[in-house]
Amino acid sequence: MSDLIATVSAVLMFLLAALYVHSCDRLKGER
Amino acid sequence: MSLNGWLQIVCFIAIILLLANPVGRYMAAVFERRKTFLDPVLVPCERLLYRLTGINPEQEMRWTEYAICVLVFSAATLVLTYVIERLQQFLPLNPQHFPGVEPTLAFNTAISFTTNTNWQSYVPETTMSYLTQMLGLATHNFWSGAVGIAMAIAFIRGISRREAKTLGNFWVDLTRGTLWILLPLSIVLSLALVSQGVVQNFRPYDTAKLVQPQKVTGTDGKLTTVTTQTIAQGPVASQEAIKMLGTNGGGFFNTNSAHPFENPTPLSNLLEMIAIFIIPAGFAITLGKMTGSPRHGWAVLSAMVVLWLAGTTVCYWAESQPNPLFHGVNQHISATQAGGNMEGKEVRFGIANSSLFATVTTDASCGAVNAAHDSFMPLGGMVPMVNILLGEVVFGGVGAGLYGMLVFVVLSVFIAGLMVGRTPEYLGKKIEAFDVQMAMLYLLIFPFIILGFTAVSVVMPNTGLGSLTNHGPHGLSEILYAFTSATGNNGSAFAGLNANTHWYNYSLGVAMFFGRFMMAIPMLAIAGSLAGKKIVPESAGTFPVTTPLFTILLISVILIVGALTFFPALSLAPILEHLLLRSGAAF
Repeated sequence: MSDLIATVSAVLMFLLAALYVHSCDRLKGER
Repeated sequence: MSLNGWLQIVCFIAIILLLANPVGRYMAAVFERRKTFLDPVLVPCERLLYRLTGINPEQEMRWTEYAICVLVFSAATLVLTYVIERLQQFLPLNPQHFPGVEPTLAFNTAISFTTNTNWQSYVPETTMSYLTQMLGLATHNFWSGAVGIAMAIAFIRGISRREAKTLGNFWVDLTRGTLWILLPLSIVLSLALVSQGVVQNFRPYDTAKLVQPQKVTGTDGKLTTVTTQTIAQGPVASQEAIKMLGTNGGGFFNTNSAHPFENPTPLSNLLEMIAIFIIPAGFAITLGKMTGSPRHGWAVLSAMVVLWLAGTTVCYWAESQPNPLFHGVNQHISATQAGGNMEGKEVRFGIANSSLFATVTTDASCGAVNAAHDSFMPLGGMVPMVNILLGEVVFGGVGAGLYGMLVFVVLSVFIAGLMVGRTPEYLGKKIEAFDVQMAMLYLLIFPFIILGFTAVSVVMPNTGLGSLTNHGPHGLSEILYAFTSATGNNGSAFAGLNANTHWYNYSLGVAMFFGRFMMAIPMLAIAGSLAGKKIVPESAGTFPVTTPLFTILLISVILIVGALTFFPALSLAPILEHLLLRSGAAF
């Protein structure tokens, strides 16, 4: 695995986590 | 088992219970910004840090802002560690001239230390320079520990605040957790460890001449005579202290706290175990203090102590049993032998302190080891695994243990509410659908990652099973333990599994990341939701969370959730191995 794959993986994981925060907040908002 | 062993175990928990109250009260004072004895020194440092970074300490954050700050900080420190590892050959403090760390390993290690896991797929003394160990890894021990502390404090504020939209300021909590709690304790513990013989220097490794030259077979199959031994050393004491206090667990040396330069004496062993438990135990008292219900804090601490005692008893009993495969050998405890299973254990610690250390390090999400868990008897090795599988809530990691336990509290209160047919309440806050949804998300992600990755690994003959040293149920234990340890952010290893491969470095890295953040985010969402609620006055239908009945219910929920989720996997691994051992089969 190259540095590029490591970087892309880390960026994707953090973006997914940020999206997860947004989704949980929306779920709360809908209630 | 011996009386001597039990006396040491009782002494250990007595010290923890004595220290929990003052430490817990001190932490409550730190995060409520009340006066502490360290203020004259630390307040000017804190103000300077805020001025330099442009942080407004009075600015409050919603749970979403708090969570994003956790992610941004973690991402920045992860990148820093990755870059240091990759470029270490060009950086100073590399007397052994180690090359840059291979990308998959650097990826795994950076995530590992960012998530407070400290899983190590490498041999530190032959891979990492002194600068990498200090600037890339030891600093992470502070940061990841302080992030856990900050998130737990945010949860406590969620419980204690009324109709509030915010949970505090992440940067303030991070700073105060580091400056007021982790740093002073680390300085004191480092000096205590140095007094016991833990090394602290920047010297290149020494070479010692062997008194008895050894004949060994090299990897090329040739027999050679070894006449010298390399003595690895470095800035160990400073890393050792925070490794324990931050429940990180990443050793300066490969053998971790079994190495005589990391843990030289029985006293240093006791200090290290105390350091692992002291902040998580204190946090239960902090919870009681900050929520205005000290008895609730003690009820939660009681549940932790009962679960710890159960694990310690089973592990100590299992390791004290004679090995059924050694027919006709005297394995009873006597003045000249420890009795029971001493394979993989240090003579200076013996069976009691090895079993206790294994239980303590896996109850808290520390992961430091002073014995080889892989060499434990099947049921003895199952205890550390079960401790992690329960969700790292038996004391747990700094902060992470408390918020994990509080999610179980929410679930327990919800179940109690269902039993009596009333809306569940927790310290005056109504537990509603959203809170339970987030609690279930927290609880379901954990087994999904562990069992999913384990299942994928065992069906890949080369990539997954090719890393095993042992096969059969013991091999399954090794893989299951690896993903359990990574997802639970523990970091201890069953060993026997070569995890320094592309598959394991990558998959364990992903498991550590999701095990930390995908569980912390729903927890913060619950905190945000609780903070916004009104306080409902206590009534006859309110389930009290300060009584022994509550403690029993909490323990039951933790055990039932853990048992129901993981019993099938455990029955195929350590339980099956135990039964086969009784019938004469070993793996």
